[in-house]
Amino acid sequence: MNNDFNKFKKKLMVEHLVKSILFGVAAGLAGAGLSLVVFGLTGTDFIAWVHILIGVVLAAATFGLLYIYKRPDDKKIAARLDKDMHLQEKLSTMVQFQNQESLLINKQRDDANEKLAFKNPKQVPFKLAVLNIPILAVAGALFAGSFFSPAVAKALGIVDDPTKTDLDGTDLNERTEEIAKDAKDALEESQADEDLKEEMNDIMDELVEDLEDDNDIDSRTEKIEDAKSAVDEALDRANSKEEIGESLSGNATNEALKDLGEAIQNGDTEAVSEALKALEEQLAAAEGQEKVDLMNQIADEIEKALAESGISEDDPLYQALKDLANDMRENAAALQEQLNSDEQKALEEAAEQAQQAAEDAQAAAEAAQQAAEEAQQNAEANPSDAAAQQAAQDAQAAAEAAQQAAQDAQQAAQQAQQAASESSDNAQKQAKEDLEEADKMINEELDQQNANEEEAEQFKQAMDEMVDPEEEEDEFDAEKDEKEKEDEKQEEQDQEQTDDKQEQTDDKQEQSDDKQEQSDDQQSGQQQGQQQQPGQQQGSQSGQGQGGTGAGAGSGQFTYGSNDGVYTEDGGQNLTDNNNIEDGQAGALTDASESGDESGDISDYFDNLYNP
Amino acid sequence: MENEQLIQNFADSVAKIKGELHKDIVGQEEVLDAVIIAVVAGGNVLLEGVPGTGKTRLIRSLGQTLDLPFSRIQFTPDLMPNDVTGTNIIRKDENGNLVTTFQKGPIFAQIVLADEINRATPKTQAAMLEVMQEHKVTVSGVTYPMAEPFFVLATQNPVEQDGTYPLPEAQMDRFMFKVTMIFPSTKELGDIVNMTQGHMEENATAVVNGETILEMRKLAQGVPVIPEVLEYAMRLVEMTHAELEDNNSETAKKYVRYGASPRAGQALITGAKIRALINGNYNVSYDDIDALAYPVLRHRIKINYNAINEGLSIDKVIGLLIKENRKNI
Repeated sequence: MNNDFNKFKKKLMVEHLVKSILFGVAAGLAGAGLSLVVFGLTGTDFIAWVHILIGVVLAAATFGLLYIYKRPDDKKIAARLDKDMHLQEKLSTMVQFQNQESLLINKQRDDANEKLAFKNPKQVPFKLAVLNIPILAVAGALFAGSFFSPAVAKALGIVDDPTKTDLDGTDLNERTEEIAKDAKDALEESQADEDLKEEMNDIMDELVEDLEDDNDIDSRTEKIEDAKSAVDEALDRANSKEEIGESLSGNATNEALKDLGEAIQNGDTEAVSEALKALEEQLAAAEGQEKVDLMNQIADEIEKALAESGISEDDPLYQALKDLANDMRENAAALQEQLNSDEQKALEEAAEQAQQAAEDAQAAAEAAQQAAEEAQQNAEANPSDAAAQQAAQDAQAAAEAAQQAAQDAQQAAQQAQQAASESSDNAQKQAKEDLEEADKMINEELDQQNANEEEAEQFKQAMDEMVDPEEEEDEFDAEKDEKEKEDEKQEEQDQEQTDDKQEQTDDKQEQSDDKQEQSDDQQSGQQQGQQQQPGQQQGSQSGQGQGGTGAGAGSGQFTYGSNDGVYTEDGGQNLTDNNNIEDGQAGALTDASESGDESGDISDYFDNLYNP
Repeated sequence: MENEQLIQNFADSVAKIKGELHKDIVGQEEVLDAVIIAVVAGGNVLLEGVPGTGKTRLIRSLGQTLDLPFSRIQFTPDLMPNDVTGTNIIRKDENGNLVTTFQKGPIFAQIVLADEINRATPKTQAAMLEVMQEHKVTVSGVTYPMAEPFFVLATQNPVEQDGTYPLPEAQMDRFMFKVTMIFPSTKELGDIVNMTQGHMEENATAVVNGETILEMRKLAQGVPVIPEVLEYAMRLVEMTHAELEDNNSETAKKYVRYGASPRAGQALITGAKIRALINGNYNVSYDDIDALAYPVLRHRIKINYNAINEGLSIDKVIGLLIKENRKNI
C-alpha cells in the first residue's frame, strides 16, 4: 500500500482506537454501576476500590478485545474510504487485487492511487459506531444512577440516611444544650450516687462540647454512642449489686443465701427482706452448737462471695454484707463461748438433775396416787372400818402432797432448763437484730443503686435526643398537640354528657308527673308487660323484669321484645323505639341506633328512667 | 505501451460509436450506452418504445456505424421461420443435375434488426432462439455458425397489443438488455424534427469493425470485480426470487411473481465491466450493477397483481430491490 492509503488507514485506526476506548469505558461504567447496585441491594459492605477495580478490568478487557479482534483490515478500510469518498470501489478493488498483475489490474491500481492522491483525510468523517453513544449513555446513566440508589448512596456517603434529616447548626447547639441542662437538672434532683452524678455531668459536658456545630448525623450518633458507653462504665463502677449478687447466688450453698444473692442482683428489696427472714428462721430452728455452725456457715459463704465478686471493700453494699458476715461470726463466737463456759455447763447439769428429780417426783406422786386409790377402794369396801377410812384419807393426802412435790420439781426443772438455754436465746435475738440491720443497710444501698440505674438510663435517653434534637422536638410538639386535642375532645364529650343528663332529668320529672296521673293503669300495664312474643326470650324477660319493676315502682312502664329492638311503653303513653324515632302524641321518642354517638346517653337515659 | 493502446482504443471506439450514433439519434444517452454495452458484450437487445421514438433508426444507425453485415427482418404474423433462417432449395448445378442448396435467410448477418418482433407468431419467434443464444442456425440437420460478432437488436411496441404475440419468457431471457426508449424532451423533439427535415436517411458512417468489437470485448473481460460487488450482483438477482427460503426481500415477496434467470447475473457482470470501462473506470462498482439492473432485470422478472394494483411499474420494483440490496453492503 502506498503512503496515501496508509495516511487514511492511520486516521481510521485512530478512529477504531477511540471507538474501542468508548466501548471499554461504557463496559467499565456499566460493570461498576451494576456492581454498585448489586452490592448495594445485597447490603454487602461497600469497598470503593472493588467497584473501581471491576470497572477498570471490564473496561480494559472490552477495549483489548475490541481493539484486537475488531481491528479493521485493509479491505475494510478500503471499503470505508470508497464509501465515504465515493470512489466507486476503486480502493477495495486495488486492495483485493494488490498481489495480481494484469493490464487492467495495474491500470486500476494506478487509477485508484491517482484518485486517492487528490483526497484529503479530512474528507473521511470521524464516525463512531451506531451503538457507541447510546451504550455509553446507558452505561453512564447506570453508573450515575447507581449512586442515587439509597443503599449505594448511603454506603458512599453521598446522601445522608434518608430516615434522618439535615440539621441546622445554630438551633442545634441551643437545643442540645437545653437537653443537656434538663438532663443534668433532673440528675441533680435524683437520689443517684453523688460520685456518679459528678461523673455523668462531666460526660454530658464533654458531649455537649463535642457536639457543638456538628450537624452530621452519623458523627453525632457516634459521639453520643461513645458518651453512652462512658455512662454505662460509670454506672458499672458505681453499682456493685450485679457482681455481688451473682457471686453470692453462685457460691452459696444455703438456699436463703442464694435467694439473697439473686435478690441483690435484681435489685429487689422485698426479695432481700424475704431472704434475710428465711435466714432468721433457719437460725431460730437451730439450737446450741447447730446454731453456732449455721452462723459460721453464713458468715463464711458471704465472705467467700464478697471475695470472689471483685468489688472494692469500700463499696457500701460490700460493707453491708461484710458487716452481716462479721456479726454472724461474732455472734457465733459468743454463743460458742457461752456454750463452752463452766457456768453454762453447771446450769445444764442442774437442769438435767432438776429434770431427773422432777421425773422422780412425778413417779412418786403417781405411786402415792395409786396407793391412795387402793386405800379408797378398801375404805369403800369396808365403809364401817374407820381405820380404813382414815388410811384412805391419809393416802389421799399423801398422794396430793406427792403430786405437789412433783409439780414443784417440774417447775424447778423448767427453770433450770430455761436458765441453761438463756444463752442460745440471746444469740438468736442478737442474730435477728443483725439480720434486720443488714436488711436495712442492703436495701438502702440497693435503692441507691436502682436510682443510679434509672438516672443513667434517663441520661442516655437524653443523649439519644441529641442526635436530632429538632426531630425530637417536633415529635414532642406533635405529641403535645395530639394530647391537647384529646383533652379538648374529652371536655366536649363531658359537656355533652352533662347537657344530656340535664335533659334527661327534666324528662324524668315530666315522666314522674305522667306516672302519677296514670297510676290507675298499673294493673293493666303489668298484664301487658307479662305478654311475651314467641322467639324473643331476651326481650320478653326484659319485658317481665322491667314490667315488674315498673309496677312495683308505680311507674307503669313495660318493655316488649321485638325483632328490631326494644320497645318501651311508658304507661301506654310514651314509646321508645331503638330503631325508629317517632314523635308520638303522648311523648318524645329517642332512637338509639340512628343517634350514633348518643347511644351512651340513651343507656344513661334508660338507667335513670328505670332506676330513678 | 501496446496495452495502454488497447485501453485507449476502447475509449476511442466507444466515443466514435457514440459520436456517430448521435448524428442520427438525439438524446437517449442511457439507451445508447446500453446498446453499446450490449454490442461490445455480444448480447442481444430488445428495444421497446412507443412508435416514433427512434428504435429502428437507432439500430439502423448502429448498423452503419459498425462495419458489419446488417440485415433487417420485419416481423409480421405471416412471417415463417424459414423466412428468417433460410431454407434448402432445389436447383440445377453446372452439370444440369438437380441439387439441394441452402439459401441463407436474413438472419445470416452480424447485426440483425428484428423489427416489431412481437408481431410474428411464436413459431417464427422460436426460430430466433438458437441463433440468439448460440449464434448458429440449424436447418434440415445442418448447423450453420454465425460470423462474430453477432447480435440481434429487436424492437417492439408496448402499446399496441392487437395482432401481436408476446415473446415467451425463454426468448425474452435471451435478450441481454431490454432498453426502453423514453419519449424525448421538448428540446430533443425539436432537434429530431430539424434533423429529419432534409432527409430521412441515417448519417452515421462505419467507424468500428468487428475485429475491434471483439478486442474490446476481450479487454472488458479483464476488468477486475471484487467479491463483494460480485456477491452484490448475485444477491440482487437472487432477491428477485420470492420463492427462495433464504430470500428476505420484502419487495420480492410483495411484488414479484417470478424472478430472473441466472443469465441475469451473467448479463449484470458482463455489462458492468464494459460500463465501467466506458465510464473511464477500471473496476466494477456497485453503481455499475445498479445502473444495469434495470435493463437486465426489466424483462426477466414479472411483477404480481399487488404491484399492478399499487401502480408500481417494473422499474419501480427494481428500484425497490436495489434500495433493499444496498442495505446489505
